[in-house]
Amino acid sequence: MSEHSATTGVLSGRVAVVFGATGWIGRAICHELVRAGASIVMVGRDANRLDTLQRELDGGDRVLFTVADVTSQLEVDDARAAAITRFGHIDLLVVSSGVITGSAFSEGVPADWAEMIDVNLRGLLHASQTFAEPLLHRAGHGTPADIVLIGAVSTDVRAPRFAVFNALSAAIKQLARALRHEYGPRGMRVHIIEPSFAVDQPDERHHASAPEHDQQHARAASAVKPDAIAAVVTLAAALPRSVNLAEVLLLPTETA
Amino acid sequence: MTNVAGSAPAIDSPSAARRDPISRLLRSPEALRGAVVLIAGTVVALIWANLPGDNYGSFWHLPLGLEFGGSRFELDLQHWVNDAVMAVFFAHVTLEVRRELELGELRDWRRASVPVIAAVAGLVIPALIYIGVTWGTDAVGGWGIVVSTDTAFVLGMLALIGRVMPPQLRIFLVTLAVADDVGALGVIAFAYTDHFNPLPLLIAVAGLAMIAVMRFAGVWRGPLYLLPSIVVWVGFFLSGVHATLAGVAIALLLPIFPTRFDDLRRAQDHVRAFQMSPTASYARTAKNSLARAVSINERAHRALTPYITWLILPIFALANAGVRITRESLVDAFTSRLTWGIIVGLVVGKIVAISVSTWIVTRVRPDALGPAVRMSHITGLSMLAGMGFTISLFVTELAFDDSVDVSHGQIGVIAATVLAATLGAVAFAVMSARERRRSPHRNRLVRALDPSRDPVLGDLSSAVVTVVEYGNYATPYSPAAGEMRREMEGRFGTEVAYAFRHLPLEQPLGRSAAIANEAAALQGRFWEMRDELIREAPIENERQIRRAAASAGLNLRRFERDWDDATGAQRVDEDLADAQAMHLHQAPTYFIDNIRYEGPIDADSVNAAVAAARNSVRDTTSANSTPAPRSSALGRW
Repeated sequence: MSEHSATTGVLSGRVAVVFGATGWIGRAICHELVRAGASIVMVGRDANRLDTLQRELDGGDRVLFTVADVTSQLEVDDARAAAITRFGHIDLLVVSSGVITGSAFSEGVPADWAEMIDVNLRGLLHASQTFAEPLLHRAGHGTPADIVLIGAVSTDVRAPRFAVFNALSAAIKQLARALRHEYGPRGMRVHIIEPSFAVDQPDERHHASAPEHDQQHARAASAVKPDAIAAVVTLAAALPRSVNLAEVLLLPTETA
Repeated sequence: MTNVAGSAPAIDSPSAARRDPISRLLRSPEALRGAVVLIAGTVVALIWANLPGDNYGSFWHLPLGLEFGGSRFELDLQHWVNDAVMAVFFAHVTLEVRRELELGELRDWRRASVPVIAAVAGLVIPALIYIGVTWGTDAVGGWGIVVSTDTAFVLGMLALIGRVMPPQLRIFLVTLAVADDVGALGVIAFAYTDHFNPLPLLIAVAGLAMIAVMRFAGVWRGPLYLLPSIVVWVGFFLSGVHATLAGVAIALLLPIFPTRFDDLRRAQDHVRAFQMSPTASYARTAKNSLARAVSINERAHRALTPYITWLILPIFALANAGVRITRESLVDAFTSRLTWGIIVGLVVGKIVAISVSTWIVTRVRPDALGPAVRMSHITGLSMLAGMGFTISLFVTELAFDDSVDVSHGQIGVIAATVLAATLGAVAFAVMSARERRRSPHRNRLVRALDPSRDPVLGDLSSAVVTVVEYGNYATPYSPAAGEMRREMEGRFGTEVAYAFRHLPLEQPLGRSAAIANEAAALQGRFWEMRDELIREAPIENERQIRRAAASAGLNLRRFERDWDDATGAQRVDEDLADAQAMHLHQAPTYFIDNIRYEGPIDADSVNAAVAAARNSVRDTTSANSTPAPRSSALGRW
């Protein structure tokens, strides 16, 4: 479907699936990918927010949204099926879903850890594994195929409130490296983008069911804006197949 | 009539055989019980009728009536039995026919067609033979006597003499008997109605309308249907159409439906509420919601069955089989073409009709009988089918007014029934002997538990008892593997090893679910997948299977590849072939120490049987200090 749209961007003809599409970072990535000419499948949990975003993007038939909880393997698989049914193939996966709950470790709530492990790590595993198949299929035909994982680095040593989140971010980075080695020889690129979140709020204990809320706190304080992350996603996907923009660290200029 | 679902287990265990005859009778299969009671009623009737004096005749002709104001309604005892009590019997037959039509054997025409064709032939050919024999006499009108097989008798006989026969034979016979009952009901309605007066039928119609309205309104309390039923009966009685057909008309209207899972869940919720606060009102809602989950047809059928078996059929036999047997009456009867018409019609007619029609069908469609049933079985069955007892005696009373004709008819029916039973018994004895020689261990597991192909819970090296289940995913109520594992570990520790094999039966996705289960085994998650499939059961679409796979934590992409490629199909098909070889037609079926378990299927009973097997192994081992034979057999694993 994307092929017949008159787009001339660097990603024209590409089909991207974005997890966490309605999130702080995900929205910016969706905007950027549509601008770059890609067709996108937005995956999120909230149909209303997805619908609003779709209208906002105004990408016509290049934009599809599907409701799925990244922690449910079945729903992730349904999203894969929906994307393939609509666009025929998938060649870019962006996993930007994540929740962040912070507190001093000694005050941490195990249920919050479980939620973070579920969404940030397990969800990312589901998405990567489920979509690896269609992506490898593309790569096998000699066309670009990319997985972009959004990780995080913590630079603020004065506010050690995100022990578990940071541990998971480290795990994601390690995973990205391992996947790069596994999939690189098969022609698929795995990228990890690690923006620095200088989260510096007095109280970071939020209800886990409103992760976006936490991210809004992060938004105010962070010098690394989602637009910058989105620009890197596009860049990574648009580079020639033979090179992999493998690991990107995005730091605020002043503190770096 | 017996329970067609086949829930009457054959009691083969040695402990049952040691019991006294009465308790053996009470515990025997329902079909057998029915036949024994019916025979008892007949024998008592014959003795009573031949006692000196006309005690029998005068008793059954005692008038019994009701009087409202000035009007009086009176029938003699025999007519109360034949017109009123037998209405319940016919209602019961009709309930069974309807259940078979909508939920059972007759639903699937491809399978039901052979016995139905045989039944139709078995109605027509005996009647023609009877007419041929009695042609030119007044007795021709009695052709309806030879059309029907006595379902109770014939199922009882099969339970008695057909134990080693394939169970499919019983299904064939039930279908045949049920189809044949439909024919007999039609014959009674259309051929033996005299003095027809249509006006009172309006009363019956009003009563039926009431029942229809109650059914539509969802009334499910059985007793409320009683009053309109009496109205219908009175209407039929006054119209001259045989009053027992009121039972048929009513039974046709009673709702029937398969148990809905929503209803079951609701019932479970109510039972749970009752467990939490056991008050009288919760007890009532729990009871009502349980009853509501089963259609009134099935509840009525179940509620009526003991009355039919223990009361109505023996009373009918008592009231109708009492024929005076003297030298003269016998000589008279056996020189009458009427008597011979009945005997030849029932015995020869049924044999020829059923055997030949089935043979012709199998010529056209070689697989029509299925793999287990052979033509010789059908021939044996057709001999039994000449037992036309109940309905034949019933029609005798309808067809003849002259007491000499009635007596000839009764002697003919009894003689034909005895002759057919004898022929059938001999035929089955011969076949059983042959069958035993061919496969001496019919109830043994054909493929021993093999850890290289069977998923096993528990440790075979330490287990003293093995349990193999053949099951499927048709209901969510089979014990989950997790439960089974906990239960077994709790009760038996490491003494029991349990394995599961596939027996997908009629479910459209049954085989697919089994293959999915095998695909999960490739990821080391057989039991987890089985639990999730049980949770999803009944499996009605592929999405349920995928959801189960996701819940079992499988790699879905890999799973779907293996599932699509049917990698596990070989094991599933082997299991299925083994199950067919062992004539398993019911899931779950358990094998405890390689012997088929035949008791009721609930966790407690199965576990009790497992415990018994375990204890007997222990006894053997402790009795002999040398290794017991069973333990040495275990060495194979």
